[in-house]
Amino acid sequence: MLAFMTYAERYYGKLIGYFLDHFKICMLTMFFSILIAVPISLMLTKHKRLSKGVMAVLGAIYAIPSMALFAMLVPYMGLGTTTAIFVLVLYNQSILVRNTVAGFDSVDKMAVESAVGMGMSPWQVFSKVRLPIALPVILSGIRIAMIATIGSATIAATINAGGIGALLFDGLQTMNFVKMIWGTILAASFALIFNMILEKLEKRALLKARGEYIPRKAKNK
Amino acid sequence: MTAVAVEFKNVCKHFPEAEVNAVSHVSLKINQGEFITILGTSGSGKTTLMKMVNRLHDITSGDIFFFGENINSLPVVEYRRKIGYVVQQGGLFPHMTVAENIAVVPHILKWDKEKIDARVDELLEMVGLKKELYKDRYPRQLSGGQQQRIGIARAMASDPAVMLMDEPFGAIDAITRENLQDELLRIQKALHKTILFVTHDISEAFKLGDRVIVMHEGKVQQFDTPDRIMLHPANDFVAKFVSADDVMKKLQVLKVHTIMDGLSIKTSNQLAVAHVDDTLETLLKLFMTSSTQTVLVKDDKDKIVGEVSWHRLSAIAS
Repeated sequence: MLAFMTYAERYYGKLIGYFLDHFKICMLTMFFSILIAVPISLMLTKHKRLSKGVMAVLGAIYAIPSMALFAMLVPYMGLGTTTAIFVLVLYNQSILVRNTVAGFDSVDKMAVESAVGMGMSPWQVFSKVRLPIALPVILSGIRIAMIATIGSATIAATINAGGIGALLFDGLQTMNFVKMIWGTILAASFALIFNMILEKLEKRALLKARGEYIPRKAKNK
Repeated sequence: MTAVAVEFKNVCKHFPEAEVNAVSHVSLKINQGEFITILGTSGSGKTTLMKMVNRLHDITSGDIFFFGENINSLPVVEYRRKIGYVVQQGGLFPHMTVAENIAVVPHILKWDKEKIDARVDELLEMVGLKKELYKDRYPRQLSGGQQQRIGIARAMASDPAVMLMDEPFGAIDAITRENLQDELLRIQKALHKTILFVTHDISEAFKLGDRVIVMHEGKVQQFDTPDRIMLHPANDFVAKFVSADDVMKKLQVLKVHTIMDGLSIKTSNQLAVAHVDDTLETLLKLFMTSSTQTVLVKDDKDKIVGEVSWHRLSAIAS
């Protein structure tokens, strides 16, 4: 216990560094994942026929063990963060696209038809009607993908991507329990905190989409 | 002379992979201020015909004119804002309050806030909902009938000259439906909107429509007033569809003014009085309860304008 605290005291800068590296990898991964998943989902919502094929491909990618995919890509993309993020973005597509499509499908057809018929531009139909109603289901996908990314990103340390994984593997190789425990605590609390934050956002989006949301100032009246 | 609001010129609609045209060679003119109902069974092309007006469906061939302008020459999004659109069950946005729903088009048109607020209040009053109670509610907190009232208010927000209504009362219980029909008639009489109203309900089509378009297999079978459709159906299909040979149906649909004669007797207070727009069914009840040979007829201003004899009414049956 004492060693455990001393380590943090002596190397807190290092711990924060690992954490920030991990945070950066996860955030970049999520940013690109969403950027790619939303257009794919919108296309699949419009062209239902493509859906089966695309989902099968994304599902197959998701089924490849991450170590195998990392190993396969290193010869082409080299070691480091870029390759790691590329792989993690690929993995996320299956989860994100599935949820995003389900989200857009859950929007009442009549509401969309009304929106178009009353003269909303395609962007207005998307931003004012389809997205706010689909948002809770999309956020639920983002939450699951985020948790998966935080976990998988630790494995990315094997290809020199850095992050909490580096601490864990380092500890594992030298049988340094203190390092291992700190790695575990950091990774787990990172995942738990994000799960909580995204769950809150998801709940709020759900209440809004259903028309049950009461703003705080109205509650205090 | 009234302007032509919507004109169809030899309009056809063909959906890909369909064997026959959904709408086939339709030509007709709808005058400004007319309440037009489009009547037909499902698959008759009635909804397709209407959705071509606001370009939710593209025209395959032919032209539609909106106050003289070819609709395909107008920018589609801006054009749609000139037309009110009401769908079944209202199509309200569940994540917006009643006030936000109604304000959608004014908001897009960038009206200032005070003007939008005033308009929302005015519209809520028009559709018979108390603004203090309903403004901040969400659609899910409303009954089907109330949702449809908001749907109508929303479609009227920017005061469009033309309204399209796609079976708006289809999923609403009979009593509420009657009320909504009466309110819609009242609003239309006050505001002289041009309304195209799709329905499969014959009574509804004949009650609301100044003129009725009867559709079948993509073609207009007859486009005329309810009285003339009932008394002179254009073909066997129309006759069968509206049950033109059914006396009870005639009594329910025909209005007093179709069989009214000029005043021949001195006005007497003892006689029963019907309204020109009452149905013959109401008139029949009046005859049966008052046991007279003649009923007087009054107009909207309570002026006696004619009379109907029992003989004249019973001639309907033959």
